[in-house]
Amino acid sequence: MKMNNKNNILPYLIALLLGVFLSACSGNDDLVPINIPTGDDEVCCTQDDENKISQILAGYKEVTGLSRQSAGDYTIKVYGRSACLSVGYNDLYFTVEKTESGRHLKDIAISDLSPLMDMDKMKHSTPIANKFDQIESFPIYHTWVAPLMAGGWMLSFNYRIKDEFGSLAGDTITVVATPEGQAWIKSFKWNDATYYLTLASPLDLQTGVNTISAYVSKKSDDATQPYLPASEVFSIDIYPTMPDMGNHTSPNNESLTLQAGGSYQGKLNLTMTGVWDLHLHVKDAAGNTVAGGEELSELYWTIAI
Amino acid sequence: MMLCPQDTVFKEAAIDEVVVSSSVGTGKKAVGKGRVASIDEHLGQLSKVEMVRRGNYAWEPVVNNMATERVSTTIDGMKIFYACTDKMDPVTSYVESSNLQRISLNSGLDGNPQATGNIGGSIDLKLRRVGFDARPSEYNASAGYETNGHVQVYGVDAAFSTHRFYTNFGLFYRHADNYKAGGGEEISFSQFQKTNAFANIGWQPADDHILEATVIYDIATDIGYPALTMDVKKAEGIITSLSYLQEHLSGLFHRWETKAYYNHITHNMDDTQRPDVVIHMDMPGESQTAGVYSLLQGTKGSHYFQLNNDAYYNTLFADMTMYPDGGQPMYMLTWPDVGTFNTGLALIDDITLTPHHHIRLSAKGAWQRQYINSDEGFHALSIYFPDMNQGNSRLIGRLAASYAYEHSAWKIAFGTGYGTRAPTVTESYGYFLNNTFDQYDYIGNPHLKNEKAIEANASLAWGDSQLSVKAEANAFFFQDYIIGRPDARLSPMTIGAAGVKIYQNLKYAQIVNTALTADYRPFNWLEWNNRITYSYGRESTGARLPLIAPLSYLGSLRFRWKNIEAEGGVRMAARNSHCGAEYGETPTPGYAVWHLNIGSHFMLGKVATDLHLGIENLFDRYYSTYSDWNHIPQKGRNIYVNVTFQIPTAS
Repeated sequence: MKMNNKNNILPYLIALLLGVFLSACSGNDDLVPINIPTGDDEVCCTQDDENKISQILAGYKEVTGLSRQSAGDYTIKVYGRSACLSVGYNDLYFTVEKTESGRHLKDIAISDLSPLMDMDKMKHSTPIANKFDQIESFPIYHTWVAPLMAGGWMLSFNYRIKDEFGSLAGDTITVVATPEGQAWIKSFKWNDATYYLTLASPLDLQTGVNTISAYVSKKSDDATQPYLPASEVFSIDIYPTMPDMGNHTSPNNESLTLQAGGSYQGKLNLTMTGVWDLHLHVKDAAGNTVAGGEELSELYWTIAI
Repeated sequence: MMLCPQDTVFKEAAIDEVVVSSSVGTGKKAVGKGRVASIDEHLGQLSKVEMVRRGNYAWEPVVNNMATERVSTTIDGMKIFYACTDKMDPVTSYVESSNLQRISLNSGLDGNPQATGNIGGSIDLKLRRVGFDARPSEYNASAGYETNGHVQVYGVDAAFSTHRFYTNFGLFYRHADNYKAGGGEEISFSQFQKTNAFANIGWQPADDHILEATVIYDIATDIGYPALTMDVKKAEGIITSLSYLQEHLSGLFHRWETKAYYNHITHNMDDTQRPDVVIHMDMPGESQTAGVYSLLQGTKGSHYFQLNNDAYYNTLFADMTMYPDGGQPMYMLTWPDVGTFNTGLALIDDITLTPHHHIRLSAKGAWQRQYINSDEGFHALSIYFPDMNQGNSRLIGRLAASYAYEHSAWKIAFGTGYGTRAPTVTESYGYFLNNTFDQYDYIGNPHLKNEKAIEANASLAWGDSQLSVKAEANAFFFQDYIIGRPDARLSPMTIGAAGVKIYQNLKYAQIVNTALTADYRPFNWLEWNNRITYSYGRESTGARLPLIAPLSYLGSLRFRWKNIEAEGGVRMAARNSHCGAEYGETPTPGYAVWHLNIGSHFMLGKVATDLHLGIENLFDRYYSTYSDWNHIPQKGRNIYVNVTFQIPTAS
């Protein structure tokens, strides 16, 4: 029997030696990822994708008070144009990272963003996009929120990370006022309801022909529920003027009309930098005036480029 | 030394010249005030040239009743472009009279070889170089004073010359306070001061192989423009050139000059001196030009021909930042940093068929490419022209032919030509340029086509030793004439403006100029000169063109005795009732203004001295001319005296 044992070990020894020999010659000695616990490669993004995600997120800042940790090993991070939200339109970008490694999870979903301002005597919400769009093919989810006032807000939302579901209420975050003299969100009343006009990406506007986006949201019956995009179809004429320049205006502007994704788009022409009042004339589908009026209407956003 | 043909340029009706650095008694055409007169005063002596005045400085030369857009101005063949969107700095304002030998004018399409885009004419300011084999050394000093506005001028220059080397250089300073119109009214914001320095060097390492270099630095500060709502803080220019000449070559061509040049102008407007400014604004402008030309001149038989190849690249940038009270500044580009590359080939042939018959043929073709270097400026203009391109290319050219016949006392000449010009940067890409003439904001039009013109000219002269008479006329027929037309849909930018005009191509336009000259010389010391001119301009909608001279008369009596010249004369104009009302022009009353001057050349020991004394507007008449922007008045009575010293004297 002793003789048989020796004979049985030899093939295993050879196999082991071969394995070591082959693996030593094979493959790629480049980037050896560090600190990757087994199983991450399945659920997290590849190094290539991580690089691209970093590039995309490099242009944004984490929103103070919104980045948080869920139950378990994950951190939900929320990014925006600046660390503080301001009154009016704010882009929000959600990602989920594995806390230990910092790598982004692929299989996530965010939903039901619910902003709430608690003003003691009254609580109210504000217009939201009511949807989350994926940025390219990466697990970065974009939405927008337009707080109506400066002050303390709570932004709660639901999440799904692989098979885990949860919801986060988070800390009260401070929303700052729009830069002095500017106004990016306005409201009007029509048929006993209040509607909000949110100008999207006001900081992207510049001298020349701009494609301008906006959203029309309707105040919910229960004011503490988020105000969703209005179901009615409007068209919004836009008449831009410079109040510092005797109300000099530009030609060839195109009215904002409803697009497939739920936003209103038009063309805004800005002839020079400075302060602009964007006068609005909201009309219903039949062309009747709903709010604002011709040329210098009382309903206008104010921007500075 | 062989007499080179360029010294005996054949003069016909098309070419006029005024000598800037002349002495009294040489008999050449020069201004009565003498060499220290300003560039503008020298230019005004050329026939067919009028000056548009926006102040007491930097007048704009107008040739055949056509302004800068239709006139080419070069300095010794170098292209140079003004830097102010409001035309406060015609390029002639960046040189001084002490830089120049003479100013030469070609009327109409038959331009000098380096001229591009000329329809009304081409002006070439010829620099004063002492040259080789001149006097070994020469020193000049000038000083002048004028009572109206306390104008002071001071200049010094020196020249050294040998067979192999020459240099001349100098410094000039000119200062003026506000001037007074007739009746004593002081015209606020009409002051200016200007300093100019220049140097020329020439080196001839081997006979007839010559290297020459020039530098001119000119800076004018605190310049007032009473016709406009802004003044100029600083206008600064540097003009440089390096050329290589070969002279007395054998073969077909006897002279070959190649010149490379660079000039840079910065211009800053200033509204801080004005009391009633609604919104303060900064308006700087900048022009840079780098270019090269190569000119071959030759004679064969009865032909004297010139072949010129040139290329230049120019950038024009101007912007405006407005500061409203308590508000955010507003910024826009008024010239969106336009780069223009232009290259052309010119051919001129002067043919002396017989001593009596002379033909001149000239042709030039050029290719031009422009590009808007500022994306912001391009985006702004795209609001008004959604389908415009950021660049454009075009071909331009001109052809001219003239014939002159002289026989005993008679001379008859006639000529014709066809030419095109590209729109200027203002006409193509200008953005909200306010015109105080008609109170409109002007926007350029990137879709403009080249302007085309057909020219026809004729002159008939008769003269003997005592009397010479000449009648001349020219006519320009335009197609696609470029001028601004109102667009009622657009909103102006300037507060208080009447509206917005966009440059358009008008189907047709015509400008006709006529002149009658009679000079009577009963004795060789007395001459009576008379000149009457009448012009007419109209475009296809039937409206009269603006800035067309009314019926005018220039008369003078000149005395010449030994080294003394004296002159008394009058300049008269009729009321221009048929003015360009459609373009915001209002009539100017007629006037008659008299002047007297006397000049003398004499020796003060070893120093050659030129002394000039004169009175302008003898009767202190309050008047303005059709070309005084917004009817600003001309100077009232002005008494001037100036003296120029030279050592050593001419032997």
